[in-house]
Amino acid sequence: MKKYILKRLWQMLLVLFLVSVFCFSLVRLIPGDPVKAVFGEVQYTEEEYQELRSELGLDKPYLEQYFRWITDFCCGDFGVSYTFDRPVRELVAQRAPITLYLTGISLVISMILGICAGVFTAVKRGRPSDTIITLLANTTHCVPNFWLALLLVFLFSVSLGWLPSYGFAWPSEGILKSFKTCLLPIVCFSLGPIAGITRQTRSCMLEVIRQDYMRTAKAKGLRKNTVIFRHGLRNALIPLITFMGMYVSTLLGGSAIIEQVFSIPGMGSLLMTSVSARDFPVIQTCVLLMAAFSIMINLIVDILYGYIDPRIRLN
Amino acid sequence: MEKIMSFLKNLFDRKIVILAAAGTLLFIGMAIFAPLLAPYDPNRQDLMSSLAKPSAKYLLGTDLHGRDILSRIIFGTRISMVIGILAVFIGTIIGSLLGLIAGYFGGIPDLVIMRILEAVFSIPRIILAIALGAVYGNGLAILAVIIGFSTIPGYARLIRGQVFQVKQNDFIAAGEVIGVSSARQILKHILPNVISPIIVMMTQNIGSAILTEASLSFLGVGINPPTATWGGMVNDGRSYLLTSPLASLAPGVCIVILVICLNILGDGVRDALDPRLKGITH
Repeated sequence: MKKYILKRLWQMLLVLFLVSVFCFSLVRLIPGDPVKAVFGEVQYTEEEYQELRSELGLDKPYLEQYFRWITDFCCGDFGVSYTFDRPVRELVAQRAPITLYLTGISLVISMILGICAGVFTAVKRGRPSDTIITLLANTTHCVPNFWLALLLVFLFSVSLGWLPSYGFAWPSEGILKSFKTCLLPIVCFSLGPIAGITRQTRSCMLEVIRQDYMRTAKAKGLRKNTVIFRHGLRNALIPLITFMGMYVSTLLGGSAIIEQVFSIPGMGSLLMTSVSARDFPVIQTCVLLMAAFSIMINLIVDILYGYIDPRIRLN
Repeated sequence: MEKIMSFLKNLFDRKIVILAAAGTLLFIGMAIFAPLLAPYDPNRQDLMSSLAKPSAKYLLGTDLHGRDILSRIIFGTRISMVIGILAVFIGTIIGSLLGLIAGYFGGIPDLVIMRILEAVFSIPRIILAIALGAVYGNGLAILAVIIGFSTIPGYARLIRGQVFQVKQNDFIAAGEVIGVSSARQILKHILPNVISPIIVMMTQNIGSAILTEASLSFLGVGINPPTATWGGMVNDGRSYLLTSPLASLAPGVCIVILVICLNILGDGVRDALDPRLKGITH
Protein backbone atom coordinates (compact mmCIF):
# COMPACT_ATOMS: atom_id res chain seq x y z
CA MET A 1 0.00 0.00 0.00
CA LYS A 2 2.88 2.37 0.89
CA LYS A 3 4.46 1.78 -2.52
CA TYR A 4 1.13 2.41 -4.22
CA ILE A 5 0.61 5.71 -2.34
CA LEU A 6 4.16 6.85 -3.16
CA LYS A 7 3.61 5.99 -6.84
CA ARG A 8 0.36 7.97 -6.93
CA LEU A 9 1.99 10.91 -5.11
CA TRP A 10 4.81 11.01 -7.67
CA GLN A 11 2.27 10.88 -10.52
CA MET A 12 0.27 13.68 -8.87
CA LEU A 13 3.34 15.89 -8.63
CA LEU A 14 4.09 15.28 -12.30
CA VAL A 15 0.53 16.16 -13.29
CA LEU A 16 0.59 19.26 -11.06
CA PHE A 17 3.81 20.34 -12.77
CA LEU A 18 2.21 19.90 -16.20
CA VAL A 19 -0.89 21.85 -15.18
CA SER A 20 1.33 24.63 -13.86
CA VAL A 21 3.18 24.73 -17.22
CA PHE A 22 -0.18 24.95 -18.98
CA CYS A 23 -1.38 27.81 -16.75
CA PHE A 24 1.93 29.60 -17.14
CA SER A 25 1.70 29.25 -20.92
CA LEU A 26 -1.86 30.61 -20.97
CA VAL A 27 -0.63 34.19 -20.79
CA ARG A 28 2.60 33.66 -22.69
CA LEU A 29 0.84 32.04 -25.64
CA ILE A 30 -1.65 34.82 -26.26
CA PRO A 31 -1.57 35.45 -30.02
CA GLY A 32 0.26 38.74 -30.62
CA ASP A 33 1.63 40.74 -27.72
CA PRO A 34 0.39 39.63 -24.27
CA VAL A 35 1.09 43.08 -22.83
CA LYS A 36 -1.15 44.71 -25.44
CA ALA A 37 -3.76 42.05 -24.75
CA VAL A 38 -3.71 42.96 -21.08
CA PHE A 39 -4.17 46.65 -21.89
CA GLY A 40 -7.00 45.77 -24.28
CA GLU A 41 -8.90 48.90 -25.32
CA VAL A 42 -7.19 51.07 -22.68
CA GLN A 43 -4.82 53.77 -23.98
CA TYR A 44 -1.27 53.44 -22.66
CA THR A 45 2.11 55.14 -22.90
CA GLU A 46 5.39 53.46 -23.83
CA GLU A 47 6.47 53.78 -20.18
CA GLU A 48 3.34 52.04 -18.91
CA TYR A 49 3.85 49.36 -21.56
CA GLN A 50 7.43 48.66 -20.40
CA GLU A 51 6.38 48.76 -16.76
CA LEU A 52 3.67 46.14 -17.29
CA ARG A 53 6.01 44.05 -19.43
CA SER A 54 8.54 44.01 -16.64
CA GLU A 55 5.82 43.42 -14.03
CA LEU A 56 4.62 40.39 -15.98
CA GLY A 57 8.26 39.30 -16.18
CA LEU A 58 7.99 39.05 -19.95
CA ASP A 59 11.41 40.67 -20.44
CA LYS A 60 13.10 37.59 -18.90
CA PRO A 61 13.80 34.21 -20.56
CA TYR A 62 10.87 31.76 -20.41
CA LEU A 63 12.54 29.33 -18.03
CA GLU A 64 13.37 32.10 -15.57
CA GLN A 65 9.84 33.45 -15.89
CA TYR A 66 8.38 30.04 -15.12
CA PHE A 67 10.58 29.39 -12.08
CA ARG A 68 9.93 32.82 -10.66
CA TRP A 69 6.20 32.42 -11.20
CA ILE A 70 5.95 28.91 -9.75
CA THR A 71 8.18 29.74 -6.76
CA ASP A 72 6.04 32.77 -5.97
CA PHE A 73 2.92 30.67 -6.44
CA CYS A 74 4.10 27.96 -4.06
CA CYS A 75 4.89 30.66 -1.49
CA GLY A 76 1.30 31.91 -1.78
CA ASP A 77 2.12 34.96 -3.88
CA PHE A 78 -0.36 34.72 -6.77
CA GLY A 79 0.32 38.20 -8.10
CA VAL A 80 -1.86 41.29 -8.06
CA SER A 81 -5.23 41.55 -9.75
CA TYR A 82 -5.47 44.32 -12.36
CA THR A 83 -9.22 44.64 -11.87
CA PHE A 84 -9.46 44.63 -8.09
CA ASP A 85 -6.02 46.15 -7.51
CA ARG A 86 -5.51 43.70 -4.64
CA PRO A 87 -3.33 40.62 -4.16
CA VAL A 88 -4.97 37.61 -5.81
CA ARG A 89 -4.29 35.62 -2.62
CA GLU A 90 -6.68 37.86 -0.67
CA LEU A 91 -9.38 37.46 -3.30
CA VAL A 92 -8.97 33.68 -3.30
CA ALA A 93 -8.98 33.49 0.51
CA GLN A 94 -12.24 35.41 0.51
CA ARG A 95 -13.99 33.49 -2.24
CA ALA A 96 -12.69 29.91 -2.24
CA PRO A 97 -14.46 28.94 1.03
CA ILE A 98 -17.82 29.92 -0.47
CA THR A 99 -17.31 27.72 -3.53
CA LEU A 100 -15.99 24.85 -1.41
CA TYR A 101 -18.95 25.15 0.96
CA LEU A 102 -21.56 25.08 -1.81
CA THR A 103 -19.89 22.37 -3.90
CA GLY A 104 -19.15 20.26 -0.80
CA ILE A 105 -22.78 20.27 0.36
CA SER A 106 -23.92 19.60 -3.21
CA LEU A 107 -21.55 16.64 -3.54
CA VAL A 108 -22.78 15.04 -0.31
CA ILE A 109 -26.45 15.56 -1.28
CA SER A 110 -25.80 14.23 -4.81
CA MET A 111 -24.08 11.13 -3.50
CA ILE A 112 -26.78 10.28 -0.96
CA LEU A 113 -29.73 10.89 -3.29
CA GLY A 114 -28.01 9.51 -6.41
CA ILE A 115 -26.94 6.26 -4.75
CA CYS A 116 -30.36 5.74 -3.13
CA ALA A 117 -32.20 6.40 -6.42
CA GLY A 118 -29.73 4.19 -8.35
CA VAL A 119 -30.15 1.24 -5.97
CA PHE A 120 -33.93 1.69 -5.97
CA THR A 121 -34.19 1.72 -9.78
CA ALA A 122 -31.87 -1.28 -10.13
CA VAL A 123 -33.89 -3.32 -7.64
CA LYS A 124 -37.15 -2.26 -9.28
CA ARG A 125 -35.83 -2.77 -12.82
CA GLY A 126 -38.55 -2.70 -15.46
CA ARG A 127 -41.22 -1.43 -13.03
CA PRO A 128 -42.95 1.95 -13.62
CA SER A 129 -40.97 3.55 -10.75
CA ASP A 130 -37.69 2.54 -12.48
CA THR A 131 -38.91 3.91 -15.82
CA ILE A 132 -39.99 7.23 -14.28
CA ILE A 133 -36.79 7.80 -12.24
CA THR A 134 -34.52 6.70 -15.11
CA LEU A 135 -36.40 8.97 -17.52
CA LEU A 136 -36.12 11.87 -15.04
CA ALA A 137 -32.39 11.21 -14.57
CA ASN A 138 -31.81 11.03 -18.33
CA THR A 139 -33.74 14.25 -18.91
CA THR A 140 -32.05 16.15 -16.07
CA HIS A 141 -28.69 15.10 -17.51
CA CYS A 142 -29.56 17.03 -20.69
CA VAL A 143 -30.69 20.26 -19.00
CA PRO A 144 -28.02 22.98 -19.05
CA ASN A 145 -27.49 24.16 -15.46
CA PHE A 146 -27.65 27.86 -16.41
CA TRP A 147 -31.11 27.33 -17.86
CA LEU A 148 -32.22 25.31 -14.87
CA ALA A 149 -30.98 28.13 -12.62
CA LEU A 150 -33.02 30.66 -14.59
CA LEU A 151 -36.13 28.46 -14.42
CA LEU A 152 -35.78 28.10 -10.65
CA VAL A 153 -35.23 31.84 -10.22
CA PHE A 154 -38.26 32.52 -12.41
CA LEU A 155 -40.43 30.14 -10.42
CA PHE A 156 -39.29 30.55 -6.81
CA SER A 157 -37.95 34.10 -6.79
CA VAL A 158 -39.74 36.10 -9.47
CA SER A 159 -43.17 34.41 -9.55
CA LEU A 160 -43.63 33.04 -6.02
CA GLY A 161 -41.21 35.36 -4.21
CA TRP A 162 -40.25 32.61 -1.76
CA LEU A 163 -36.49 32.71 -2.17
CA PRO A 164 -33.93 35.42 -2.99
CA SER A 165 -32.70 35.36 -6.57
CA TYR A 166 -29.12 36.33 -5.72
CA GLY A 167 -26.53 36.63 -2.95
CA PHE A 168 -24.93 34.35 -0.41
CA ALA A 169 -25.01 34.15 3.38
CA TRP A 170 -23.01 31.96 5.73
CA PRO A 171 -24.94 30.06 8.43
CA SER A 172 -23.32 32.40 10.99
CA GLU A 173 -25.29 35.28 9.45
CA GLY A 174 -28.55 33.50 10.26
CA ILE A 175 -29.51 29.91 9.57
CA LEU A 176 -32.76 30.77 7.75
CA LYS A 177 -31.14 33.50 5.64
CA SER A 178 -28.29 31.15 4.73
CA PHE A 179 -30.69 28.33 3.90
CA LYS A 180 -32.76 30.60 1.68
CA THR A 181 -29.80 31.98 -0.25
CA CYS A 182 -28.09 28.61 -0.67
CA LEU A 183 -31.09 26.44 -1.53
CA LEU A 184 -31.48 27.29 -5.22
CA PRO A 185 -27.73 27.26 -6.03
CA ILE A 186 -27.33 23.89 -4.27
CA VAL A 187 -30.29 22.46 -6.20
CA CYS A 188 -28.71 23.67 -9.45
CA PHE A 189 -25.29 22.28 -8.49
CA SER A 190 -26.74 18.93 -7.39
CA LEU A 191 -29.32 17.98 -10.00
CA GLY A 192 -26.83 17.10 -12.74
CA PRO A 193 -24.58 14.98 -10.47
CA ILE A 194 -27.66 13.32 -8.88
CA ALA A 195 -28.81 12.29 -12.37
CA GLY A 196 -25.32 11.04 -13.28
CA ILE A 197 -24.79 9.12 -10.01
CA THR A 198 -28.28 7.57 -10.30
CA ARG A 199 -27.48 6.32 -13.82
CA GLN A 200 -24.09 4.98 -12.79
CA THR A 201 -25.30 3.35 -9.56
CA ARG A 202 -28.14 1.69 -11.44
CA SER A 203 -25.77 0.43 -14.08
CA CYS A 204 -23.20 -0.87 -11.50
CA MET A 205 -25.94 -2.45 -9.37
CA LEU A 206 -27.47 -4.23 -12.37
CA GLU A 207 -24.04 -5.62 -13.16
CA VAL A 208 -23.54 -6.78 -9.54
CA ILE A 209 -27.05 -8.21 -9.15
CA ARG A 210 -26.30 -10.73 -11.92
CA GLN A 211 -23.27 -12.13 -10.07
CA ASP A 212 -23.28 -15.60 -8.58
CA TYR A 213 -22.50 -14.43 -5.05
CA MET A 214 -25.72 -12.42 -5.02
CA ARG A 215 -27.68 -15.55 -5.90
CA THR A 216 -25.78 -17.48 -3.24
CA ALA A 217 -26.57 -14.80 -0.65
CA LYS A 218 -30.24 -14.98 -1.57
CA ALA A 219 -30.17 -18.79 -1.52
CA LYS A 220 -28.66 -18.72 1.97
CA GLY A 221 -31.89 -17.08 3.05
CA LEU A 222 -30.46 -13.64 3.86
CA ARG A 223 -32.90 -10.76 4.08
CA LYS A 224 -33.45 -8.83 0.84
CA ASN A 225 -32.00 -5.61 2.29
CA THR A 226 -28.89 -7.39 3.57
CA VAL A 227 -28.32 -8.91 0.12
CA ILE A 228 -28.77 -5.56 -1.63
CA PHE A 229 -26.79 -3.35 0.73
CA ARG A 230 -24.10 -5.62 2.17
CA HIS A 231 -23.37 -7.76 -0.86
CA GLY A 232 -24.69 -5.65 -3.74
CA LEU A 233 -24.06 -1.98 -2.97
CA ARG A 234 -20.66 -2.54 -1.37
CA ASN A 235 -19.39 -4.09 -4.58
CA ALA A 236 -21.20 -1.63 -6.82
CA LEU A 237 -19.65 1.29 -4.88
CA ILE A 238 -16.11 0.32 -5.94
CA PRO A 239 -16.40 1.49 -9.57
CA LEU A 240 -18.61 4.37 -8.40
CA ILE A 241 -15.84 5.82 -6.24
CA THR A 242 -13.74 6.48 -9.32
CA PHE A 243 -16.42 8.82 -10.61
CA MET A 244 -16.28 11.01 -7.49
CA GLY A 245 -13.22 12.87 -8.73
CA MET A 246 -15.05 13.55 -11.98
CA TYR A 247 -18.03 14.98 -10.10
CA VAL A 248 -15.82 17.30 -8.05
CA SER A 249 -14.45 18.58 -11.34
CA THR A 250 -17.97 18.99 -12.77
CA LEU A 251 -19.14 20.85 -9.65
CA LEU A 252 -16.16 23.20 -9.74
CA GLY A 253 -16.81 23.84 -13.43
CA GLY A 254 -20.48 24.47 -12.69
CA SER A 255 -19.48 27.11 -10.14
CA ALA A 256 -18.51 29.46 -12.98
CA ILE A 257 -22.07 29.34 -14.30
CA ILE A 258 -24.19 29.02 -11.15
CA GLU A 259 -22.28 31.63 -9.15
CA GLN A 260 -22.66 33.99 -12.08
CA VAL A 261 -26.45 33.49 -12.28
CA PHE A 262 -26.98 33.84 -8.51
CA SER A 263 -24.34 36.57 -8.05
CA ILE A 264 -22.49 34.48 -5.48
CA PRO A 265 -19.03 35.87 -4.65
CA GLY A 266 -17.14 32.58 -5.14
CA MET A 267 -14.23 31.38 -7.25
CA GLY A 268 -16.39 30.80 -10.34
CA SER A 269 -17.71 34.34 -10.44
CA LEU A 270 -14.20 35.64 -9.71
CA LEU A 271 -12.96 33.73 -12.75
CA MET A 272 -15.75 35.10 -14.94
CA THR A 273 -15.14 38.69 -13.81
CA SER A 274 -11.45 38.23 -14.58
CA VAL A 275 -12.17 36.71 -17.97
CA SER A 276 -14.23 39.70 -19.07
CA ALA A 277 -11.53 42.07 -17.76
CA ARG A 278 -8.70 39.86 -19.15
CA ASP A 279 -7.21 39.85 -15.64
CA PHE A 280 -4.64 37.14 -16.34
CA PRO A 281 -3.06 36.68 -12.86
CA VAL A 282 -6.52 35.87 -11.49
CA ILE A 283 -7.41 33.59 -14.43
CA GLN A 284 -4.14 31.65 -14.00
CA THR A 285 -4.62 31.32 -10.25
CA CYS A 286 -8.26 30.21 -10.49
CA VAL A 287 -7.49 27.58 -13.14
CA LEU A 288 -4.42 26.25 -11.34
CA LEU A 289 -6.10 26.11 -7.93
CA MET A 290 -9.23 24.43 -9.28
CA ALA A 291 -7.10 21.88 -11.14
CA ALA A 292 -4.90 21.29 -8.08
CA PHE A 293 -7.98 20.72 -5.94
CA SER A 294 -9.42 18.31 -8.48
CA ILE A 295 -6.06 16.45 -8.65
CA MET A 296 -5.91 16.18 -4.85
CA ILE A 297 -9.44 14.76 -4.71
CA ASN A 298 -8.53 12.27 -7.44
CA LEU A 299 -5.47 11.22 -5.46
CA ILE A 300 -7.57 10.65 -2.34
CA VAL A 301 -10.10 8.70 -4.43
CA ASP A 302 -7.32 6.58 -5.97
CA ILE A 303 -5.79 5.81 -2.58
CA LEU A 304 -9.24 4.95 -1.23
CA TYR A 305 -9.85 2.80 -4.27
CA GLY A 306 -6.55 0.99 -3.79
CA TYR A 307 -7.37 0.49 -0.11
CA ILE A 308 -10.83 -0.95 -0.82
CA ASP A 309 -9.83 -3.08 -3.81
CA PRO A 310 -6.37 -4.69 -3.39
CA ARG A 311 -6.28 -5.69 -7.09
CA ILE A 312 -5.82 -2.02 -8.04
CA ARG A 313 -2.75 -1.38 -5.89
CA LEU A 314 -1.20 -4.69 -6.88
CA ASN A 315 -1.50 -3.77 -10.56
CA MET B 1 -23.40 -3.85 -46.45
CA GLU B 2 -25.04 -6.66 -44.54
CA LYS B 3 -23.36 -5.39 -41.36
CA ILE B 4 -24.68 -1.87 -41.94
CA MET B 5 -28.22 -3.17 -42.54
CA SER B 6 -28.05 -5.28 -39.39
CA PHE B 7 -26.72 -2.26 -37.43
CA LEU B 8 -29.55 -0.05 -38.71
CA LYS B 9 -32.12 -2.76 -37.91
CA ASN B 10 -30.77 -3.01 -34.37
CA LEU B 11 -30.55 0.77 -34.04
CA PHE B 12 -34.15 1.43 -35.06
CA ASP B 13 -35.49 -1.51 -33.12
CA ARG B 14 -36.84 0.80 -30.42
CA LYS B 15 -39.47 3.46 -31.09
CA ILE B 16 -37.76 5.98 -28.82
CA VAL B 17 -34.60 5.82 -30.98
CA ILE B 18 -36.66 6.41 -34.14
CA LEU B 19 -38.25 9.42 -32.43
CA ALA B 20 -34.84 10.75 -31.35
CA ALA B 21 -33.42 10.25 -34.87
CA ALA B 22 -36.41 12.10 -36.33
CA GLY B 23 -35.91 14.94 -33.83
CA THR B 24 -32.20 15.16 -34.63
CA LEU B 25 -32.94 15.17 -38.38
CA LEU B 26 -35.45 17.96 -37.81
CA PHE B 27 -32.79 20.10 -36.11
CA ILE B 28 -30.26 19.26 -38.85
CA GLY B 29 -32.88 20.30 -41.41
CA MET B 30 -33.45 23.54 -39.49
CA ALA B 31 -29.72 24.25 -39.51
CA ILE B 32 -29.32 23.56 -43.25
CA PHE B 33 -32.45 25.35 -44.44
CA ALA B 34 -32.37 28.17 -41.87
CA PRO B 35 -32.54 31.00 -44.45
CA LEU B 36 -35.61 29.39 -46.05
CA LEU B 37 -37.38 28.50 -42.81
CA ALA B 38 -36.77 31.65 -40.76
CA PRO B 39 -39.51 34.25 -41.25
CA TYR B 40 -37.05 37.13 -40.73
CA ASP B 41 -33.35 37.94 -40.75
CA PRO B 42 -32.14 36.88 -37.26
CA ASN B 43 -30.44 40.25 -36.71
CA ARG B 44 -33.22 42.44 -38.14
CA GLN B 45 -34.25 44.92 -35.47
CA ASP B 46 -37.80 46.19 -35.14
CA LEU B 47 -37.42 48.56 -32.21
CA MET B 48 -41.12 49.45 -32.29
CA SER B 49 -41.85 45.80 -31.43
CA SER B 50 -39.33 45.41 -28.60
CA LEU B 51 -40.24 42.50 -26.28
CA ALA B 52 -43.43 41.85 -28.28
CA LYS B 53 -45.65 39.01 -27.12
CA PRO B 54 -46.22 36.03 -29.46
CA SER B 55 -48.48 37.02 -32.35
CA ALA B 56 -49.21 36.09 -35.96
CA LYS B 57 -46.39 38.42 -37.03
CA TYR B 58 -43.84 37.12 -34.50
CA LEU B 59 -44.79 33.55 -33.57
CA LEU B 60 -42.55 33.43 -30.46
CA GLY B 61 -42.44 37.19 -29.89
CA THR B 62 -39.37 39.41 -30.03
CA ASP B 63 -36.39 40.21 -27.81
CA LEU B 64 -35.30 43.57 -26.38
CA HIS B 65 -33.99 44.75 -29.76
CA GLY B 66 -37.18 43.70 -31.52
CA ARG B 67 -35.51 40.71 -33.19
CA ASP B 68 -37.75 37.75 -34.04
CA ILE B 69 -37.07 34.99 -31.47
CA LEU B 70 -38.18 32.18 -33.80
CA SER B 71 -35.78 33.27 -36.55
CA ARG B 72 -32.94 33.56 -34.05
CA ILE B 73 -33.69 30.08 -32.71
CA ILE B 74 -33.69 28.63 -36.24
CA PHE B 75 -30.35 30.29 -37.05
CA GLY B 76 -29.00 29.37 -33.60
CA THR B 77 -29.40 25.69 -34.56
CA ARG B 78 -26.61 26.19 -37.08
CA ILE B 79 -24.08 27.34 -34.49
CA SER B 80 -24.97 24.55 -32.06
CA MET B 81 -24.84 21.87 -34.73
CA VAL B 82 -21.68 23.09 -36.43
CA ILE B 83 -19.75 23.54 -33.18
CA GLY B 84 -21.08 20.27 -31.73
CA ILE B 85 -20.07 18.22 -34.78
CA LEU B 86 -16.76 20.04 -35.42
CA ALA B 87 -15.70 19.78 -31.77
CA VAL B 88 -16.49 16.08 -31.67
CA PHE B 89 -14.49 15.44 -34.85
CA ILE B 90 -11.49 17.36 -33.52
CA GLY B 91 -11.66 15.57 -30.16
CA THR B 92 -12.17 12.17 -31.81
CA ILE B 93 -9.34 12.42 -34.31
CA ILE B 94 -6.69 13.79 -31.93
CA GLY B 95 -7.88 11.81 -28.90
CA SER B 96 -8.09 8.51 -30.78
CA LEU B 97 -4.70 9.01 -32.36
CA LEU B 98 -3.09 9.73 -28.98
CA GLY B 99 -4.92 6.77 -27.43
CA LEU B 100 -3.75 4.47 -30.24
CA ILE B 101 -0.12 5.59 -29.87
CA ALA B 102 -0.17 5.38 -26.06
CA GLY B 103 -1.86 1.99 -26.06
CA TYR B 104 0.20 0.43 -28.86
CA PHE B 105 3.67 1.59 -27.88
CA GLY B 106 3.17 1.64 -24.10
CA GLY B 107 6.25 2.61 -22.03
CA ILE B 108 7.52 6.18 -22.28
CA PRO B 109 5.13 7.41 -25.06
CA ASP B 110 2.24 6.09 -22.98
CA LEU B 111 3.54 7.70 -19.80
CA VAL B 112 4.14 11.09 -21.45
CA ILE B 113 0.83 11.19 -23.36
CA MET B 114 -1.31 10.01 -20.48
CA ARG B 115 0.29 12.33 -17.91
CA ILE B 116 -0.18 15.35 -20.19
CA LEU B 117 -3.78 14.36 -20.82
CA GLU B 118 -4.34 13.75 -17.13
CA ALA B 119 -3.14 17.29 -16.51
CA VAL B 120 -5.58 18.66 -19.10
CA PHE B 121 -8.35 16.47 -17.73
CA SER B 122 -7.78 17.69 -14.19
CA ILE B 123 -8.91 21.17 -15.18
CA PRO B 124 -12.72 21.27 -15.10
CA ARG B 125 -13.85 21.14 -18.73
CA ILE B 126 -15.86 24.33 -18.74
CA ILE B 127 -13.11 26.20 -16.83
CA LEU B 128 -10.57 25.03 -19.42
CA ALA B 129 -12.82 26.21 -22.23
CA ILE B 130 -13.42 29.57 -20.48
CA ALA B 131 -9.67 30.12 -19.92
CA LEU B 132 -8.78 29.18 -23.49
CA GLY B 133 -11.66 31.27 -24.82
CA ALA B 134 -10.43 34.25 -22.81
CA VAL B 135 -6.96 33.90 -24.27
CA TYR B 136 -7.64 32.87 -27.85
CA GLY B 137 -10.85 34.73 -28.61
CA ASN B 138 -14.25 33.44 -29.54
CA GLY B 139 -14.71 32.71 -33.22
CA LEU B 140 -16.71 29.70 -34.35
CA ALA B 141 -13.68 27.63 -35.40
CA ILE B 142 -11.68 28.54 -32.29
CA LEU B 143 -14.60 27.64 -30.06
CA ALA B 144 -14.97 24.27 -31.80
CA VAL B 145 -11.23 23.63 -31.34
CA ILE B 146 -11.39 24.62 -27.66
CA ILE B 147 -14.42 22.41 -26.93
CA GLY B 148 -12.90 19.58 -28.99
CA PHE B 149 -9.58 19.98 -27.16
CA SER B 150 -11.30 19.55 -23.80
CA THR B 151 -12.74 16.18 -24.94
CA ILE B 152 -9.40 14.72 -26.13
CA PRO B 153 -8.48 13.03 -22.79
CA GLY B 154 -11.79 11.14 -22.71
CA TYR B 155 -11.21 9.60 -26.15
CA ALA B 156 -7.54 8.88 -25.50
CA ARG B 157 -8.29 7.05 -22.24
CA LEU B 158 -11.03 4.97 -23.82
CA ILE B 159 -9.04 4.00 -26.91
CA ARG B 160 -5.87 3.28 -24.93
CA GLY B 161 -7.78 0.79 -22.79
CA GLN B 162 -9.30 -0.83 -25.86
CA VAL B 163 -5.91 -1.06 -27.61
CA PHE B 164 -4.44 -2.84 -24.57
CA GLN B 165 -7.15 -5.48 -24.96
CA VAL B 166 -6.78 -5.84 -28.75
CA LYS B 167 -2.99 -6.15 -28.38
CA GLN B 168 -3.50 -9.41 -26.48
CA ASN B 169 -4.82 -11.07 -29.67
CA ASP B 170 -2.71 -13.52 -31.63
CA PHE B 171 -3.11 -11.66 -34.92
CA ILE B 172 -1.17 -8.70 -33.51
CA ALA B 173 1.68 -10.97 -32.39
CA ALA B 174 1.57 -12.69 -35.79
CA GLY B 175 1.78 -9.29 -37.50
CA GLU B 176 4.83 -8.37 -35.43
CA VAL B 177 6.52 -11.68 -36.30
CA ILE B 178 6.13 -11.16 -40.04
CA GLY B 179 7.46 -7.61 -39.69
CA VAL B 180 4.34 -5.49 -40.22
CA SER B 181 5.18 -1.83 -39.56
CA SER B 182 3.78 -0.12 -36.45
CA ALA B 183 1.74 2.35 -38.52
CA ARG B 184 0.16 -0.51 -40.49
CA GLN B 185 -0.51 -2.49 -37.32
CA ILE B 186 -2.25 0.51 -35.75
CA LEU B 187 -4.25 1.60 -38.78
CA LYS B 188 -5.06 -1.77 -40.39
CA HIS B 189 -5.29 -4.18 -37.48
CA ILE B 190 -6.02 -2.24 -34.31
CA LEU B 191 -8.16 0.70 -35.45
CA PRO B 192 -10.91 -1.44 -37.06
CA ASN B 193 -11.20 -3.34 -33.77
CA VAL B 194 -11.63 -0.22 -31.64
CA ILE B 195 -13.84 1.74 -34.03
CA SER B 196 -17.14 0.79 -32.29
CA PRO B 197 -16.37 2.49 -28.97
CA ILE B 198 -15.07 5.52 -30.90
CA ILE B 199 -18.36 5.82 -32.79
CA VAL B 200 -20.36 5.33 -29.58
CA MET B 201 -18.39 8.01 -27.75
CA MET B 202 -18.67 10.39 -30.72
CA THR B 203 -22.45 10.18 -30.84
CA GLN B 204 -22.68 10.52 -27.07
CA ASN B 205 -20.34 13.52 -27.01
CA ILE B 206 -22.15 15.72 -29.54
CA GLY B 207 -24.81 16.52 -26.94
CA SER B 208 -22.29 17.51 -24.30
CA ALA B 209 -20.33 19.60 -26.83
CA ILE B 210 -23.56 21.47 -27.63
CA LEU B 211 -24.18 21.99 -23.90
CA THR B 212 -20.63 23.33 -23.44
CA GLU B 213 -21.07 25.74 -26.36
CA ALA B 214 -24.40 26.93 -24.95
CA SER B 215 -22.83 27.44 -21.51
CA LEU B 216 -19.94 29.42 -22.97
CA SER B 217 -22.29 31.58 -25.06
CA PHE B 218 -24.47 32.11 -21.98
CA LEU B 219 -21.42 33.28 -20.04
CA GLY B 220 -20.44 35.62 -22.86
CA VAL B 221 -17.24 33.80 -23.79
CA GLY B 222 -18.80 31.96 -26.72
CA ILE B 223 -19.70 33.34 -30.13
CA ASN B 224 -19.78 37.13 -30.23
CA PRO B 225 -23.12 38.94 -30.42
CA PRO B 226 -25.18 39.72 -32.45
CA THR B 227 -24.80 36.18 -33.93
CA ALA B 228 -27.76 34.13 -32.76
CA THR B 229 -26.77 31.33 -30.36
CA TRP B 230 -29.11 29.50 -28.05
CA GLY B 231 -26.96 30.06 -24.95
CA GLY B 232 -26.55 33.74 -25.81
CA MET B 233 -30.32 34.09 -26.30
CA VAL B 234 -31.02 32.58 -22.86
CA ASN B 235 -28.60 35.12 -21.38
CA ASP B 236 -30.07 38.05 -23.34
CA GLY B 237 -33.58 37.20 -22.20
CA ARG B 238 -32.85 36.58 -18.52
CA SER B 239 -33.49 40.19 -17.50
CA TYR B 240 -36.98 40.08 -19.05
CA LEU B 241 -38.14 36.76 -17.66
CA LEU B 242 -41.33 38.28 -16.27
CA THR B 243 -42.35 40.38 -19.27
CA SER B 244 -41.06 38.17 -22.07
CA PRO B 245 -40.31 34.68 -20.71
CA LEU B 246 -40.12 33.04 -24.14
CA ALA B 247 -36.96 34.99 -24.98
CA SER B 248 -35.08 32.78 -22.48
CA LEU B 249 -37.33 29.74 -22.20
CA ALA B 250 -37.71 28.89 -25.91
CA PRO B 251 -33.98 28.57 -26.75
CA GLY B 252 -33.49 26.61 -23.50
CA VAL B 253 -36.21 24.15 -24.51
CA CYS B 254 -34.48 23.71 -27.89
CA ILE B 255 -31.15 22.92 -26.18
CA VAL B 256 -32.82 20.36 -23.92
CA ILE B 257 -34.77 18.66 -26.76
CA LEU B 258 -31.76 18.50 -29.08
CA VAL B 259 -29.45 17.14 -26.38
CA ILE B 260 -32.06 14.56 -25.29
CA CYS B 261 -32.49 13.41 -28.93
CA LEU B 262 -28.71 13.17 -29.43
CA ASN B 263 -28.20 11.28 -26.16
CA ILE B 264 -30.96 8.77 -26.91
CA LEU B 265 -29.54 8.32 -30.40
CA GLY B 266 -26.06 7.87 -28.89
CA ASP B 267 -27.38 5.25 -26.48
CA GLY B 268 -29.16 3.56 -29.40
CA VAL B 269 -25.92 3.45 -31.40
CA ARG B 270 -24.13 1.95 -28.40
CA ASP B 271 -26.82 -0.70 -27.92
CA ALA B 272 -26.81 -1.53 -31.63
CA LEU B 273 -23.02 -1.85 -31.78
CA ASP B 274 -22.66 -3.70 -28.50
CA PRO B 275 -25.86 -5.62 -27.72
CA ARG B 276 -24.30 -6.96 -24.50
CA LEU B 277 -24.73 -3.51 -22.94
CA LYS B 278 -28.38 -3.18 -23.92
CA GLY B 279 -30.54 -2.27 -20.95
CA ILE B 280 -27.68 -2.48 -18.49
CA THR B 281 -26.17 0.94 -18.98
CA HIS B 282 -27.97 4.08 -20.06
